Amino acid sequence: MGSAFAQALQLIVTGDPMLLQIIGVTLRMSLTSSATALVLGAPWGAFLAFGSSKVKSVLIVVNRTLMGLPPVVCGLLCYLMFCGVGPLRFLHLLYTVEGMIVAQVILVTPIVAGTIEAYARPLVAPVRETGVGLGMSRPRILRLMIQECRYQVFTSYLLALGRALAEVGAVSMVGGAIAYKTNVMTTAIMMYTNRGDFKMAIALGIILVGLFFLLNILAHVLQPKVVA
Amino acid sequence: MRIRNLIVRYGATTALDIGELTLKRGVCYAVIGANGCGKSTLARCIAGVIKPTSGEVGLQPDDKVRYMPQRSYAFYGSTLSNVMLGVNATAHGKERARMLIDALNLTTVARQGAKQLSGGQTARMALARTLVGQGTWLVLDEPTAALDSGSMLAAEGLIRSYRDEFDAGVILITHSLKQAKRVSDQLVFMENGHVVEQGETKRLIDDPQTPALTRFLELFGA
Repeated sequence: MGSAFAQALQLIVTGDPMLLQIIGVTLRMSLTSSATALVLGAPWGAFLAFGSSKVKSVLIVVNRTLMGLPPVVCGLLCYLMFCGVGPLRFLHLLYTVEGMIVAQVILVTPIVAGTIEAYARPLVAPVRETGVGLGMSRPRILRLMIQECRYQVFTSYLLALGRALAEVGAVSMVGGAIAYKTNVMTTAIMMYTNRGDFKMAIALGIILVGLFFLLNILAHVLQPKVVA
Repeated sequence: MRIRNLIVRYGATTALDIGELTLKRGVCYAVIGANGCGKSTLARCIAGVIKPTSGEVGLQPDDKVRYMPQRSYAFYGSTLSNVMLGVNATAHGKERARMLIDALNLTTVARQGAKQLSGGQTARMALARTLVGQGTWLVLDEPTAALDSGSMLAAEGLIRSYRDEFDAGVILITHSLKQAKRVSDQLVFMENGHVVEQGETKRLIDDPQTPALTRFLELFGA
């Protein structure tokens, strides 16, 4: 085990081409899916936070349910949609990075929306009351609201990115973990471990944990500092 | 401002039910009453924060209402930038903001993050933010509740100046009868969502016309 660890470090230091290829696919998939989830999820979360009605209460419950959607179930749904007899087979997304992105967007968007809704909801009343009291227009009040939530929007993105990086169920079902094409860090760790090629699995594991560490440093550094 | 048949209901509860209430610009009204009598609901209706269930507030088309809620909210940014939210960023606006910050003893924290202010400082910042812009009506919901006596007197002076400078009608919600006597021209006494009595402050406190106001004054003193 000690030598496998040392070999793993060597792979990282020398920039093993296979390692870099897997990292590249992972980052492409994760960055795209988390950014897309943020673009879709942030306005949706803001919509859920503003106002209240029976319909909105139902939508909030549905969104919160989707936040806990098991990744393999999501993968199964996407597989059934994109496979050769599925209704979206014409999109040719099965066993592609794009298909994996779609699956992750479905998984992560409710999480982004839910975290923003939970954070923004208690702020809506005081922000609106203050804005109306100062004679502000609705667009201006909305801009103020977004400003108040900007840190939460960013941490929602980091949460989405972290979830996308760590996800294995949906991406393995939709992507197929094909070498040089759709193999990402999580599916590669599984594959190499099953093969007994621990150095590669350990190297990928170190990089994955390192990425999470970086994300948390970013989140901590960017904690709101109140400045003039 | 002519308030007519103004009703606000929350479910089965009637929070406000005012048949008629006429308020004039250039006059400071102190609205008093026990907790839950509808003072804040009235303030929020006048400010346009909530829509009444029925009836109207009767503002003129060119009326501008400046409203300070009971709980002050500080936005991200400095104390100065928070105050500037209440006015256009012109030279005059900045000058007025600076004047109010100085008058409310916020000079030392002007560049400090507003979210780091104490409760009293936040209330003073919120008052400055409300007073910095010109309006025809000033609605203040317990603006000095969190202030010490020195700051309270300074705030009361600024409120009176605002009334005089802009000929604004002032609606001041307060639990302090002493403050009502110091600051207001007229008293509006509310109970259970209704306006029970309205008139000149000193006259009403010295000689209440209704048993309800008499009971209130006995309980809370003047």
